[in-house]
Amino acid sequence: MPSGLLHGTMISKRSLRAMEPKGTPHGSMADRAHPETGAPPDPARREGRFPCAFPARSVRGRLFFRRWRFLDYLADGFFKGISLIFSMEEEVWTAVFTTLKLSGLSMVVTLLLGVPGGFCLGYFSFPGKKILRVTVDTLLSIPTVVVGLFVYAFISNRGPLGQYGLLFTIPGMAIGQTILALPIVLALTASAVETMDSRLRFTLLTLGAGGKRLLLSTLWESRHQILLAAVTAYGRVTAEVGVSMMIGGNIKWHTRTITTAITLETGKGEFSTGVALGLLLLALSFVLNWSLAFLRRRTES
Amino acid sequence: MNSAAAPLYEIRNLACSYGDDPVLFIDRLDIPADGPTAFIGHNGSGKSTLLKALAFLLKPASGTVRFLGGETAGRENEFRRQATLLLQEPYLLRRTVFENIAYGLRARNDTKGLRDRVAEGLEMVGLPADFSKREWFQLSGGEARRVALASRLVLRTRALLLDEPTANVDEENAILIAGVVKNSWKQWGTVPLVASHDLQWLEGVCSRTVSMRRGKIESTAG
Repeated sequence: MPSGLLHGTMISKRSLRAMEPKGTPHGSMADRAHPETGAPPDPARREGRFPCAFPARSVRGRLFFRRWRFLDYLADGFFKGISLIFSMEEEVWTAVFTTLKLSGLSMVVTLLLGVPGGFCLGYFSFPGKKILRVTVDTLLSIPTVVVGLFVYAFISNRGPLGQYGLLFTIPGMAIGQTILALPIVLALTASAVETMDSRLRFTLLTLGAGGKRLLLSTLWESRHQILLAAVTAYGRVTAEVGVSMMIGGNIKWHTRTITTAITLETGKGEFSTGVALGLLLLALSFVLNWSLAFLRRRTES
Repeated sequence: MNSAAAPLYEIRNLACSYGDDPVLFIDRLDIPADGPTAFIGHNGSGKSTLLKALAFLLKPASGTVRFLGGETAGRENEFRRQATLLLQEPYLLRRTVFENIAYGLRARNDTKGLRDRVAEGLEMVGLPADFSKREWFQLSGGEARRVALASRLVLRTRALLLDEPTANVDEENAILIAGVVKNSWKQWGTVPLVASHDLQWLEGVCSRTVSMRRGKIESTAG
C-alpha cells in the first residue's frame, strides 16, 4: 500500500480519482444507484461498511475507509502470525531452524578466519597493511546481491566450484554469508586491537609475558570488543536476503530462511505467515541488540 | 653474569628517542645494587623513559645497558624477568584481582602455592585476602594502584622500578607504599628504583638520588 494513503494531507482529490477504475463514476457501489434497476443508494448498506461519520463520497471519508481497512489487515496478520508461532506451524519453524543452522555455520567459519586475521591486521606491521585495511573497510558495505552473484558464478555448474554441488544447499549459502560477515569481524577485531590501551603491552611484558602468551593475553584483553564484532556480524548474516535467495533458491523445507520466507509470503499475499516470521526475526534482533548493549556496558566499565 | 660485585645497572652512551625526537641521553651511569635509588627532575626530564629503558621495555636508539654485569642487548626477554616496572598510571588486566596478581607468576611457570602467594601480596599492600575475588572494574584508583604494586611484589624480581608511585595517592597509602618498598629491599633484596616529584617521600625511602634535567643526568648524590 503506498505510504501516502496513511497521510491524508498528502493526497489530492485528483489523485484519489486517478486510483479508481476507468469508466466508473466516482464513489463506491454503496454510494451509487443500482446500475440495472436504477434504485437509489442504500444508506444502511453504506453505513454498515465502516463506522464513518463522514459522507462516503468525501475525500476524508474515503481516506478513513482505506486507513481502517489497512489497520484491520495489519491487526489480522499480527494476530494470525502470533497464533502461527504458538501453534508450532511446521513451515514457520523449519524456516527458523534453517536460519539458525545457516547462520551458525557461517559464523563458525567467519570467526575461525576473522578473529586471527583481524588480530594480525591490527597487531602487526607489514608491507601493504594500509591497502589491506582500506580494502577490508570497503568490503564492510558490500551489497548482498553482489556477493550472491559472484558466489553463484563460482558454485554453479559452469563455475570452477560447480563439481561440489554447492548451489541450492546450506553450505553454499554459508559461503556467501561468510563473505558478507568476514569483513565485519576482520575490521572490528583489527580496530579493537589497534585501539587497545598502550599500557597493556608494557604491563604484559613487564609481568614476564612473551611470545605466544603475549599475543593470547592481548587477544583475551580485547575479548569484549571481539564479541561485539561477532554479534554485529551475526546480525548482518541473519538479516540478509540477497545471498540466501540467490544461492539457496528459497526451496521449501530445505533452504528457505526467515528472510526469504517473508519475501515470498508477502508476495503471495500470505501476510500473517510473513508477520509470524517477522516477529521471530525481530525477537532474534532483540536478543542480539540486548547482548550488544550488555557487552558495550561491560566494555565501557 | 658476575652479580656479586657488579652494579645493578651499568649504562653507557644510552640514547632513547620517540620517533625522531631524542628524549634521553646518558653518557655514563652506574646504579649500585646496595640500596634504593631515587630519580628526581622536572616533568619531561626523562625519568619515565629511563625507567622503561631499565625495565627493557624500550629499545635504545644507541648505547648499552648492562644488568648485574650481563650484556642485555638481544636478551631483553630474559632480563625482563629480573626487573619489573610499575607504570605511573598502572594498567590492570580485565580480570579478577587474583588473576592480575597471579599473571606474572604464571608467566614464569612459578605456580607453587599460588593462592597463598596472592594472599601474601595483597596483605603486603594492606588489602584483605578476600579482595582477590573482585573484578578489575570494581576497584577505586588507589586500590587498583595497590593491586598493581602487589602483582609486581609477588614476583620478587632483582629490580623494582616505580614511576610516581605516590601520584594521586592519599597520605596513608603513601606511607604504606613507602613501607612496602623498604620492606621488599630488606626482605628479598629487591632493589627499588623510584622516580617521583615527592621529595619528602623519597627522602624516607631512598638513600641515593639521581637528578635529571632535559634527558640528561644533572647530578648524583648519596
